Amino acid sequence: MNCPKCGTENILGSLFCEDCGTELPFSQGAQEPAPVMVTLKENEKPPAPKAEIPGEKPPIHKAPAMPKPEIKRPEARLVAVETETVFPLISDTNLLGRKSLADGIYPEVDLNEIDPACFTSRKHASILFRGGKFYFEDLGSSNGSFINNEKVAVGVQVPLSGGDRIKLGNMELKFDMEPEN
Amino acid sequence: MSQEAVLDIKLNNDKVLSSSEDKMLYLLADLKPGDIPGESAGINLAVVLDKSGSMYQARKLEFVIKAVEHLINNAGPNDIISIIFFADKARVVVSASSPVDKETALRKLSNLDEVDIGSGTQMLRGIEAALGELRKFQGSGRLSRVVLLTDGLTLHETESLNRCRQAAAEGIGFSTIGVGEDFNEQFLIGLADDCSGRSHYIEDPSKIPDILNQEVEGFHNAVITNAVLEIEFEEGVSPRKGYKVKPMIYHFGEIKTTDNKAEFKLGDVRKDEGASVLTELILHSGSPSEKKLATVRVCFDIPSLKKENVVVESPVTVTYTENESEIGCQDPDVLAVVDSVSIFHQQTRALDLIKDGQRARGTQMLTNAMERLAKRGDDELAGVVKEEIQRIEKGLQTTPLGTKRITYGTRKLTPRAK
Repeated sequence: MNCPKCGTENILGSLFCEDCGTELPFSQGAQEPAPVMVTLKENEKPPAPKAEIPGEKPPIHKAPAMPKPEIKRPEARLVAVETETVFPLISDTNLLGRKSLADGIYPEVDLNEIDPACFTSRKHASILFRGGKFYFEDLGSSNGSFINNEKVAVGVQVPLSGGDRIKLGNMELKFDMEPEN
Repeated sequence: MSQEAVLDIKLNNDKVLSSSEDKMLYLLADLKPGDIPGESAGINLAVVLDKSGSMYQARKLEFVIKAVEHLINNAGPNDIISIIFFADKARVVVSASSPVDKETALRKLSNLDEVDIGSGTQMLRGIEAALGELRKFQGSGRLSRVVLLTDGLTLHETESLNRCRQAAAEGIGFSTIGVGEDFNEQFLIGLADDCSGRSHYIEDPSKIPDILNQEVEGFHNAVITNAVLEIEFEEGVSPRKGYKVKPMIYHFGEIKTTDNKAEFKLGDVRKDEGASVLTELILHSGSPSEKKLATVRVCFDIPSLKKENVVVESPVTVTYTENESEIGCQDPDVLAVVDSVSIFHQQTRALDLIKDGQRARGTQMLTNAMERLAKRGDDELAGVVKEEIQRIEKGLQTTPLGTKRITYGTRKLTPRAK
């Protein structure tokens, strides 16, 4: 596990970088950066664009680095399925995590209230608005992220569509977006 | 199993992902004394005090005399107190007697000006004199302890340290008090850490009576003595680093294992305070199952009950799992301790790097430490660190005062829940 600040390699499970003292995301590893896998629910038909051919790696989507013309961000939000708590996505980069004053982590989507058992990481994931589209990215969370029951590989930006179900740890959120004109 | 003390064991996570990769867990072992009956056998105390020329500045000697007068006046019927002053020579001003002859002791202290022992700083002579006084009553069941107070650099540091270590092996503990900004904090801290004592820093001489009396009061509250924590590791588990985290943070240094066992000296454990050790464990591999990682045991004496080699022990187990989602929150108590220790480690390394000339890297680490202190709410200490960083950035040296404040301050960091 490499320190995000100084790059020093630390043993898995280290909570702070041995060299510079930066707090490290908790990880016990073993999660190879696997390709995005589709696990279908019982009796569910695979959505055409996301269906995969067994044995083939699905395409990895990368968001464009910078939008060229200024594109208006449509109104979008996350809704916790169990508690119906609404989290408006108010920025081009929205951190999903748990607020920590001690560590200076102030997520746009603070999951502390709806995740008292702390299954989500402090910096779990991001929802980005790039080039007119929303993307989801797992930031190396301990318990992983799933979109429509597909495991999301760490560091891969996956495009979102209205109605997508996002599972973080053991909690499910629905991605809602105003219809595109 | 003993009822006189409780051993509490916690891991930062009691579930571990099974894989072939090495991974780290943090083990916190906390020893709390129980309600131990019995009367204190008293203390056999030698107070070794600097009377060099610099002690006459800022009323230091005046506050020292006030402090020892208080000790004499408050000595219990079972206590023995000897007072030794040192400069170029050492002089036993109050010799060990049972009970303390308070009237004679106070009279001798009032005539201290007549004691001519030069103006230098030869602590070793004071230590030798103190050991001579302690031996008069050693083995009487009393706790034999020395408090060393100085405001300057002493000659023969290595010899002094070795002499104290020898005495510590015979059960004599040494605590140290540094006053002002001219003493060598590494020497005083190292001496106390090696010899079952504590090291204190006093910036304002008027605090000398308070600190000296607190330390002596602590000796009276040491219900457990000679405590040693032992960890016996199972196959596939090894220790990485160990820290004493309560009452003060102290890095045990390289851990040597013999027959898969590592020992950590805890020394005295005071009533209502306890002692804690944080150990970093490396787990080499594991398949899904519950597994014992180690056995933690603490061996200690209870002077008031005249008990020796009392043992408390506890197993350490984890559950290996293949399901990452089963790994839940980490233990907040362990996390808070790891946080404090990490800041301590960071500032220690930073000051070492700066001392070794690696100023840029050391300053960066010190800046990280400062930010973390500020986030925890340790604003005063963060401010001290900031002042030193600003000096370094201007190309100046760190100040002895700032270095001492940082060094002693981070040793006393208390865990804050995250």
